Amino acid sequence: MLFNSIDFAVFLPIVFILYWFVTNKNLKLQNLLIVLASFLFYGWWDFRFLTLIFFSTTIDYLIGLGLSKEQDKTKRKILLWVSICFNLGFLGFFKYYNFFLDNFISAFSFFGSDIKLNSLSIILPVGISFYTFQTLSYTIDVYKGKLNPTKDFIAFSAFVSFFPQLVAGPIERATNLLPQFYTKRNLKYSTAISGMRQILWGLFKKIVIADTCSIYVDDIFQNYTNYSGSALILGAVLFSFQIYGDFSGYSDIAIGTSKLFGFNLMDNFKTPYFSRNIAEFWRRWHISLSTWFRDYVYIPLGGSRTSKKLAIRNIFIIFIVSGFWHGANWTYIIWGTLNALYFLPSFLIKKNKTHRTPNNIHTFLPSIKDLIKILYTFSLTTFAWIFFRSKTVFDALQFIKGIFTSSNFFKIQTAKTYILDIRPLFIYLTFFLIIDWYYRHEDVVFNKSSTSKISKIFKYFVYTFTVISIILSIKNQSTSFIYFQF
Amino acid sequence: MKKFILKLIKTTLLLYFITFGIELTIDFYLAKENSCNTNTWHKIYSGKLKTEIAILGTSRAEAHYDTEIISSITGLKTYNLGISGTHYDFLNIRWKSFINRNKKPKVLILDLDPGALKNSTELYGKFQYLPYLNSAEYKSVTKGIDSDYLFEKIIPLYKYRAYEMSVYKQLKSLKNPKYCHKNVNGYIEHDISWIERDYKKFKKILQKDKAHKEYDLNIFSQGLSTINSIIEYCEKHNIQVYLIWSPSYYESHEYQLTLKKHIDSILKKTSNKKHIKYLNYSKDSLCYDKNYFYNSSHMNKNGATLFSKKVGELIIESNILVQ
Repeated sequence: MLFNSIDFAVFLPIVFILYWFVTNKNLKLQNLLIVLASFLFYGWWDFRFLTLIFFSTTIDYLIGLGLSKEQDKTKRKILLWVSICFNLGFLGFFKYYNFFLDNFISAFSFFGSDIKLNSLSIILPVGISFYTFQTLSYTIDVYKGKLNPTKDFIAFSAFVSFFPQLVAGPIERATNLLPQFYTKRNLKYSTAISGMRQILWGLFKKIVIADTCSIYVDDIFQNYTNYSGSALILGAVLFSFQIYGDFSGYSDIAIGTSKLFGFNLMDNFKTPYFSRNIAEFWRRWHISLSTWFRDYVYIPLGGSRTSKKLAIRNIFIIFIVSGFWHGANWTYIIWGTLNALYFLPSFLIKKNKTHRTPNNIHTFLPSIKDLIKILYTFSLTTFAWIFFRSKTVFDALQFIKGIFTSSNFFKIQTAKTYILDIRPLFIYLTFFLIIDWYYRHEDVVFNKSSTSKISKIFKYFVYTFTVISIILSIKNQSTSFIYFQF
Repeated sequence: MKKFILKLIKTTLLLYFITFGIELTIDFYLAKENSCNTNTWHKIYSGKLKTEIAILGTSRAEAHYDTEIISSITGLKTYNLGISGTHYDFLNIRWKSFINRNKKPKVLILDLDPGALKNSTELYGKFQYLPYLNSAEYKSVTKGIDSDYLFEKIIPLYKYRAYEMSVYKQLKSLKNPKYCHKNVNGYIEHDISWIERDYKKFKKILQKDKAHKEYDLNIFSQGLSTINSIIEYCEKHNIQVYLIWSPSYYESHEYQLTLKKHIDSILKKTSNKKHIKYLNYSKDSLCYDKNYFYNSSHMNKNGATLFSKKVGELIIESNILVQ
């Protein structure tokens, strides 16, 4: 079920009413409702996916119980590895089987021996990378003694399948989310309002920014040979906004929806495109995944508290693995490697920990110096997104070549822009950037407390503009979220 | 909880009324007489369209019949009711809205566009019908096809989605006609020539079509029945009908040739049976000069001028009209 669909618009109020008005007196019943609602939400795509999530949930639940009873270090380690192998095994099979097979065949044929292996037609279960990492965090934290394993299967199932963040995160830590299923939830007025605001802004990001950008982006990336250099740059820039709007929009709706059910999820994006260097960008982009890799891969490998050589190796590992997590394609691996290369200089000169506070906290406009840094960082990330968006490495390289070699560099006439006027999109993007910048210190947009009449009127003006933009940008068919494929 | 639900209802209602107010304002201004998009609709719905010659058809009709020229030759008031991208089954929206509210014409020129005879599965260019979606004709003709109708009725501004710039231009056109195409009594002048890139695309389409010779002729049933019903209506009300297949560029004649031959034979039969004039200009001398077209099926101003003269003279020559 998509957040931006009529189905969800019907589903959410029904579950909300049942949750707060029917099952509110019994915590177990509320958790059971969440499980059932989540299974319905997930099964809406394909009911066959449910067996996989149920299997994954049961294995990690049992391993958690096993870990609580087992004192022997070796046996505990075996249990942990069983969980890792099962979870990564599923992920590997569904997501990477064909990739490894194809590369295997290519490698053999490169050395002159042809082997014949059949690739499988596998449907990738939606959100498998997200819930796999979430359940893994549970087993690892239980193994490390950071978390007591749960005996409540319903609560654990609700934690794994919690519908707002099931298919595209934020990838929650068991230490944060699971305990919330043990305690009675209350709907505070301020939290509920904040949740609604976040849902509204998430819908704006998805429907107005991401979906509108995608019309141009899809056309430009699919037919890049037909376009001038400037049109290709426009395509890459619009993709930067598309992926940000799409993914952070999803996260906002997920976090906002969770708030309506009395749950508090971690932040996933904090105005990443206003970052002043790549390190800051990665502290603000897909935070739940970055911190997951930091805590469960980077630090166990030694992190930065090791020799410089090993620390550099660790940086490359974490970025490349992060790229590979996105998909079984060399384009993602190059995207990850590029980000590692971007990150490396600031690490070497020990500037990777600067800019920990939000941009220009006391002034409305950034300084010229900061603005240049922001634009520079945005350009680097946009360049890397070309690989992320392209179907193959060859396409990405041709796209980049096209930017620099196409004739009529400044001719922005494209097939789509010829039919569709791009000006409304620029107005929406400007509004989006202003709001994103204005509320950059807040966890949720529109959350600044306003007491004066003028600021209240202004707030309603902004609400109205947001709502109108959403209505005017709704497409005839609900569009999927980019990150569902990962 | 109570406070939250009250706030939610209050905010939703407030936003609903604001957006509804904006929609009403846009509707009001778009329905103005001097708005270029709805100029014809305004005349139709206010019953002010008094014409002696009515031209009905798709964008080809809209672009091919210069009302000023036809009017000057025949001495009869002429109005072009052509509407872009409209299949014949949907042409009924315009035709029925017109005849239900306005004085009947003496002559109807029904321009034939074989590409538009196909049964409609969706509505093309909905903006052309805005803000008149509430008319009985629109509702009855698009029933079952316009699946968004209910949502557009309930959600304010939803019917204007993706039309931000069109609305902007229309509103601007109220004060500044440069935002409109030149429109003389429904005739839209296209003072442009056929650009090379589009010509090459057209050649590619022709190449593809060569492999595709068979067409399911049943899918044209609704279009043909609309033509028949219009002819029957005219017969009853003593309106002289001309079925005219206006020119298209000669290289496009091979395109969907089987289909065209079939439609041509049906129209010949109809004209013989009903004793109406059927004129096929698809092989006229105009068709052989690229300078008269801005694409394969639409003539530009130069072509339309010459063609309109021919049509005007035809009406005079056939000496059907009794002044």
